[in-house]
Amino acid sequence: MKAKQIIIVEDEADLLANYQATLEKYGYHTKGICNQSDAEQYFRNQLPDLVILDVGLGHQPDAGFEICQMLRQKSATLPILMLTARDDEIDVVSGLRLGADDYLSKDISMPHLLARVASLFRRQEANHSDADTSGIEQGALKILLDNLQIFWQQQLIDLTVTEFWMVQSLARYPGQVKTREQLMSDANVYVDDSTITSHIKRIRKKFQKIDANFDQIDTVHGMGYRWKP
Amino acid sequence: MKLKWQILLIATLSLSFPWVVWQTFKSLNLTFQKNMLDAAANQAQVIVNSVQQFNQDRHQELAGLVPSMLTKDVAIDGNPIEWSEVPWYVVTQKFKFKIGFHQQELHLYVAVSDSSIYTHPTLNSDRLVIAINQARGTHKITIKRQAEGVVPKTFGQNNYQAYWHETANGYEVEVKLKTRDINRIGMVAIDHQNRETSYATGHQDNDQIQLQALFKPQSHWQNFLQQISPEDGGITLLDSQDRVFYQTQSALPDNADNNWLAELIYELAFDQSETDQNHFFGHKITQIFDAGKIELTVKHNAAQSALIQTFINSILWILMIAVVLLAGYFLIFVILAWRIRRLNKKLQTVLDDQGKIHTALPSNQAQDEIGDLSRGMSSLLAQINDYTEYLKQLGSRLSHEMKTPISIVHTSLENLQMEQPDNDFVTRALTANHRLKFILNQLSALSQLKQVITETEPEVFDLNELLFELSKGYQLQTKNIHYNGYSQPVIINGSQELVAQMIDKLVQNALDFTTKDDLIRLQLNIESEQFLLKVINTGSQIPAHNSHQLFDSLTSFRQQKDPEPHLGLGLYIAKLICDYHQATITASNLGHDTPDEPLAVEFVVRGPLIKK
Repeated sequence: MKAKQIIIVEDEADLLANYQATLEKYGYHTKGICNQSDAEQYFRNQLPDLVILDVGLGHQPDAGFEICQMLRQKSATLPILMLTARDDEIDVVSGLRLGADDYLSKDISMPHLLARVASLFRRQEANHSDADTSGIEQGALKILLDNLQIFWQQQLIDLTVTEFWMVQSLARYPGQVKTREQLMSDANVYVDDSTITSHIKRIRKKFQKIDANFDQIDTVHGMGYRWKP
Repeated sequence: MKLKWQILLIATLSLSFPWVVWQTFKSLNLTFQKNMLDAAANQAQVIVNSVQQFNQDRHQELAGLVPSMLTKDVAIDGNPIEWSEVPWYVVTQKFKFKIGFHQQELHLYVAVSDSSIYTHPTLNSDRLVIAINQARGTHKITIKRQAEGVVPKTFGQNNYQAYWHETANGYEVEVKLKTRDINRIGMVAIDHQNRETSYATGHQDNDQIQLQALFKPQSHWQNFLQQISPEDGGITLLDSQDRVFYQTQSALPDNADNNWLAELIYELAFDQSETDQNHFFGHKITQIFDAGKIELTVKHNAAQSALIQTFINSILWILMIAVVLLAGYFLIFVILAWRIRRLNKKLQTVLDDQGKIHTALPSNQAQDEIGDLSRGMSSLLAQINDYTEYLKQLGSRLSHEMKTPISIVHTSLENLQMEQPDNDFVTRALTANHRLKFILNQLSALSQLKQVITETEPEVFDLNELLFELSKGYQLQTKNIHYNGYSQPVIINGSQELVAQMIDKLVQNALDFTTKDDLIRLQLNIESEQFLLKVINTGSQIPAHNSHQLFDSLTSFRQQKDPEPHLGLGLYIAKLICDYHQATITASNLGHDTPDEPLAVEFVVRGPLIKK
């Protein structure tokens, strides 16, 4: 199989080198671009298999957003991973609904990053193949683990990978309370509590777009969240 | 001392100015008066010498009985009330009398000591004899001693009216003589012990009545006195008992045209002595000479009156100006003091609940020193504000800057570890970097929380119910947490999320210090208009010497090293949230290490309630 091509757009040279080293160790082909104009130039001519975008490129806060929007216009299915410098930016950036597949902070450990990249590729393949793979069904909820897809009332919910893992963590044991720490570890992210809160809020909103009466996710004050049985 | 007492002191001292002026005027006046007095005394001496000379040249013209003027109607009733101003002529120990003139008739009031009453209707008895001498001859009036009452008129004798008044040791007789042009008069009282024995007392010598001349004013004396009396004055010649012989003009002129107010002020302000003869209108000098007394009154002429008037006017003006000036100064000082106080008061409240500094101070536009002070303070506060803002951002900016290098270290080490999974150095470095990241995250979480606190809008909610919910959650985690709630809703103003965070921190803190055998208790009461929230855990104590630092940031007093890195921010965050709710948080040790009272730690949050 052809090795996947990953483009990393990151202005900090050392960080870029490390990311590339990690990904290449796992057999991916990578290329690094460190400014907005070069990136746009490159993407005009070709698209890779996956793009990792640094949100704060150089001194331009909007650079990452603009590249992401440009990529989405070019391809609706290209997996895009956005990296933010601070946890509190994740919320803001997700809110912009740029259409990226996931938003992670640069604090993420390399193994987790690799796992995330792998999941994105797996999801993409599953979308292309339409194969009916194993999943969990609970009432209106259907989770396809391999595809990293969640359906509610037969409709696909547009969740980021992080959000997918969180819902999966909650719904796997309905009625059981999951603390924020547990949700974080299940989703392979390391963020502060308020970021988790905003993830959950966003998840609820996405479900509610399909089903206005959705309230399966319970907030348990002082503890965390649980999926209603 | 405070400004207003300083002002009062200065004002009081300033009042001494008009007082000094007053004293000056007073002593000026005294000197003036003394000079006048000396001049008048000299004048009097000259006049006295003159009168004496005149008197010596005329023998005995100032002599005789001087009838006093009786101004009121005299009732012949034995009541001496009309005679109260008239002096006695004391003839003997047992005989004295008063003589007066009223409506051109001569009046007499005779007092005799005669305690042995001896009366007989026809023959001898105690009696009073009055001899009256006129140009055409002398006749006698005899009034026999009788009981109290009007003396009955005897036949043919209608030239007098009398009243007999018995007294304790004698008698008094009031007589009105209707005879006119009396030249001389003599009175004798005859006292009978028995029918034969009697003795006479009064104007008598060898039992013969001695007639006394009545004094009659003579025109050459009047002219002479008129000549020598000073222009603005008068001379009064009196006998030794103040009976007036001659008087040139009234001693104290009316002067109704003078300002009565000026006179009042003069008397009050300048003329403190009451014994001297000085008066607003003039001086009175008295000199004794052999026939009696000379009284000289010298009126202040118009120029002198004007001088005194000027004194009074001046002092009044000065007093008024002084008072106005004082009031002005006082007002200025009061306003100054008020402005300073207002500035001070504003400074007390310049830092509001949220920690924001208000830089708008009063008196900012004023052009004087207070305005300078206010502007200086405003700019100082603005600088402090800027610096505080900078400091607030410093933590997060620093941690933001550090993130990228730490990420580089992190990714490098991870790459290294993937190549050399058994390299201990790499492992240690990674762990340490992990801790660094943790610290950064905590710091950035802290500044985020501070931001959230300033932006959170408070709402009204029931603390009791919130705690119920929270404790249910905690109990799912560990079994040794209990909540003793309050019997009624406890309504406070604040943020439910922040309160939940704070309780989380406190409970987490308790959990970190206890084992499964210890107890953690949450308790909520109301006490004197405040809510009391307690988190108590057994099994640990706060080290005494560090208790005051407990709620500071980055202080941690854990005994054992945790596998998880610990920054010591939990209690600091709890304190920040308490500040937001205008509450206080304290920690104390409980218990005495006995089975009934095990060692425990108690955290108490005390804050205001919302009035329902």
